[in-house]
Amino acid sequence: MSAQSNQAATSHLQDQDASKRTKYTLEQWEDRMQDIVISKDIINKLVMNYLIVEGYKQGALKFEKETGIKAEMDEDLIDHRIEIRRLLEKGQIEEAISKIDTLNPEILDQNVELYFELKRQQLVELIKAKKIDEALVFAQANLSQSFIKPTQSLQDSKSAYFKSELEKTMTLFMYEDLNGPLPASLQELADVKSRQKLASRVNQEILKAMGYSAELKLGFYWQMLQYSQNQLSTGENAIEFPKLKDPMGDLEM
Amino acid sequence: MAEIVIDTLKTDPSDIKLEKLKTLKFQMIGSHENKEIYFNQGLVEILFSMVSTELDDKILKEIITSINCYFFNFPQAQECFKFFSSTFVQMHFFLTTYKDSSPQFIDMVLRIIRNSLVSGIVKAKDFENQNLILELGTFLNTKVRISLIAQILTILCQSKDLKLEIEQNRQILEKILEQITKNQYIISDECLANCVCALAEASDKNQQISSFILTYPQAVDELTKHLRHPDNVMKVKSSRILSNINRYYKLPTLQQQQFKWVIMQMSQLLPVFQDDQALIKEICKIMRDLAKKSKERKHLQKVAGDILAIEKLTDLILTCKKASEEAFDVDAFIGDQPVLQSSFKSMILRTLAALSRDEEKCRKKIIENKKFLDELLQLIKSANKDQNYAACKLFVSLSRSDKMLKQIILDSGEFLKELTKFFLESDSEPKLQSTCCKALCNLAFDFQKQLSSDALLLRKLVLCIDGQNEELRVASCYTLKNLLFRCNKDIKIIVVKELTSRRLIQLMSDSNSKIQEQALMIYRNLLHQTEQDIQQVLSDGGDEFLAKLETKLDDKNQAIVLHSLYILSSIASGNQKQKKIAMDERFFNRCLQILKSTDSSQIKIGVLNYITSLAFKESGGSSESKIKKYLTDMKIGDLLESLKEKERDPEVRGYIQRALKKLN
Repeated sequence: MSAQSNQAATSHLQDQDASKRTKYTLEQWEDRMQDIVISKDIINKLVMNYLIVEGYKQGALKFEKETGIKAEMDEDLIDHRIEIRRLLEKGQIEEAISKIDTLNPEILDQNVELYFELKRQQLVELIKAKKIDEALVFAQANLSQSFIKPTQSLQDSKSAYFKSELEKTMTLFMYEDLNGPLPASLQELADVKSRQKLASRVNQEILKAMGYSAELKLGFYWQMLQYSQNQLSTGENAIEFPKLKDPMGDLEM
Repeated sequence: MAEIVIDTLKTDPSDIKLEKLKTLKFQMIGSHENKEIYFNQGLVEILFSMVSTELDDKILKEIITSINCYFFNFPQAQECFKFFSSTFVQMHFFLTTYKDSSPQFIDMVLRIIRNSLVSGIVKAKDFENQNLILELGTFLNTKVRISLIAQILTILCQSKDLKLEIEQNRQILEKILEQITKNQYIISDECLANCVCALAEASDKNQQISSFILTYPQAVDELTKHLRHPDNVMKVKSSRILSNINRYYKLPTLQQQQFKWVIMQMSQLLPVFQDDQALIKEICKIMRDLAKKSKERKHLQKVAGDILAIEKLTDLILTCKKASEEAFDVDAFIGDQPVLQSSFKSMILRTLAALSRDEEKCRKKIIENKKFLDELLQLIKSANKDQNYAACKLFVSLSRSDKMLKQIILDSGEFLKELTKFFLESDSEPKLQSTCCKALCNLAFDFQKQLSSDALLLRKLVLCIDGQNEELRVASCYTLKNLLFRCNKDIKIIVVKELTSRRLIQLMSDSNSKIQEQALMIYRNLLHQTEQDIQQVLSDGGDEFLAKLETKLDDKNQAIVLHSLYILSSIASGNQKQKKIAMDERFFNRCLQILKSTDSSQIKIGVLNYITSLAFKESGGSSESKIKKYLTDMKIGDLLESLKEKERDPEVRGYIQRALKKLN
């Protein structure tokens, strides 16, 4: 048989398969979902988890009053986390590092990669502020010496990684205007979002170091939902059903 | 970086001191280079000198934080810290003195105590009689502190006294259990793991704590769930807790099956965990604990055979050796072996010893691995006491094999020479000495000639019998007994010459009943075979010996009575004169009484053997009727009646029929 007729045959078979599949309309699917009872308690706990992990202290306290779900949080710690996040998102990296060290000096001492990210962000902020001389001295004193030279504790592979990342960061010096178009790999460095990303990461590390779970349960269950939808719609026993593609969106066929 | 002048740190005014210390801290955290600069200037010594004199908690916090920095990514500081181990211990006083100070200060004190314990700078026993457990119990109010305290407790459990204190401090245990049962979704994975590890250590060989965990709501259910945790450490530690509880309180069958299954699954993956020595040690420990009960051990041995666990464990010993040869190791050394590697090897050797204890298939697998035997010999010769003790223990298990396998071991290297050497020279290491003695004891049956030709060894065995260590005394007696089992006359002469009949008779009344038994068995072996052997014994302190033997027939210990009966049997199997001695009223009447009164089949058989031996035709022909006549005179009717009564007992029927035949 020719390739074309092969393809036609396969497609015909697939159509036949598709026609055999169980299909659910939007209404049918929503009806089925109504049958699944998830207690409000669980939903509220998920929301509380989100508020606490992300550091929304006032939100958590209000939610506690409304729902009766205890906000299992260390208020002191939340205040620190909020402050550190605020400093990082404003680009005040040195002050943020100082706060982290005051809260728990072991966080950065044990996490070389995170410390590098913070120092690297500090360098980026200096470059953005066009403090070129200061940036060069900073890069030499804080990044080049500390992270690139292999030591008994710093492995060669990590040292090589830091070197390549530092080289990438140093190329920012070549651009006059960091708000203009930049290569993709540099864009994410110069973008304000890098501060948010870093702040999120620091927040997670602080939570872990202080004995709290940094896992956003909502995020986890979202991933589980995507996986389950994928499993249901592939394979021999695949079904057709409305899917949730956006956490803030609606079900779509 | 603007370097801080640290020479004046101690004498600077408080505000300047505080600023300097804060700057130092910020410079050093995360920076190996800066740590090195200040380390070379003597910062560590300066900081430690300030710890005992500084009263301001803010300054103290900065000092402790800076010292603590050196625990991370700066191994050079470890040697320096050893000089200040007592200062680390005393830091726990800050917990009480500054309990109302800033929370970060208390957290820092807990961190530095934890780090000093984890790094081995201080040991658990250094905190005995320091009230530390009580102090820690008052600080369980944040997750980070619970996590830190759990880590501290894990190490403090190495001290029996401190474990007792933990047992009595239910508050700490409750708080930890609360994290596992109620807060497991709120706390970090590390915090959860620390709590589980603490419980694993605390419940080890501790019935009270095991009971507390068992009765704490949902604790066992949650731990059972953790048997399926993605983290192997969690799986293994949870198994350990359940195994600890199961030791005292039988868990439901399903839970028992689950944790045992996890351990076998983990042991199947031993080669995968090669770099994680702590995890392997944990798995081995649980296997050893399970192996202590014979039923569990049988199951373990069977499964170990199916999953090639023996092969994997022996491979670990061989690859572990290779790794230590290749890599630079900064850990402390004892002799030529790194400390951490040696305790890892010891654990594996002991696990192999436990698995092969009473299972020939397991032993065979080990013995047939020539490379492993070579390594075992090296470990026995090692300067590391822990290692050579563990290696000797394994050898004791292996030496229970049949003669052919034993021969393979001895042919592969100078095991006999080394074991003998250790036995002779380890007076300061009684555990090692008695283990070597046990190994020699197991070899004594099959290699009598070699061992008994060593006069030094025999002398030492006799000396050890007179020593203080009971285990060694018993092992020495066992060894002498084995040397004499069905041996030739020359060996008997040599042994008796060293031991002397006088000493042997004294041993029959030793305070240790096991030694009494062995002494009797030595006599049995000496009396075995010919009339000349019997004559030899009876002519050397014979009267005293027989007087002692008579008393032994009345002993409460059944084993002693039994051996005494067999001695009489042996004497009774000699010539007429010797039979007459055995047939003496004091013995005969007593045996008859024993036969009538005992319920023990073994004792009955012992008496029947005696009677059968008496009734056997003695050498020299015509005297048979004399013995029978004598028996008749001694109320044989009574004897026959007793025999016929006991004939109903299936265990002794054969023996009775033989005795009756001989008597008729």
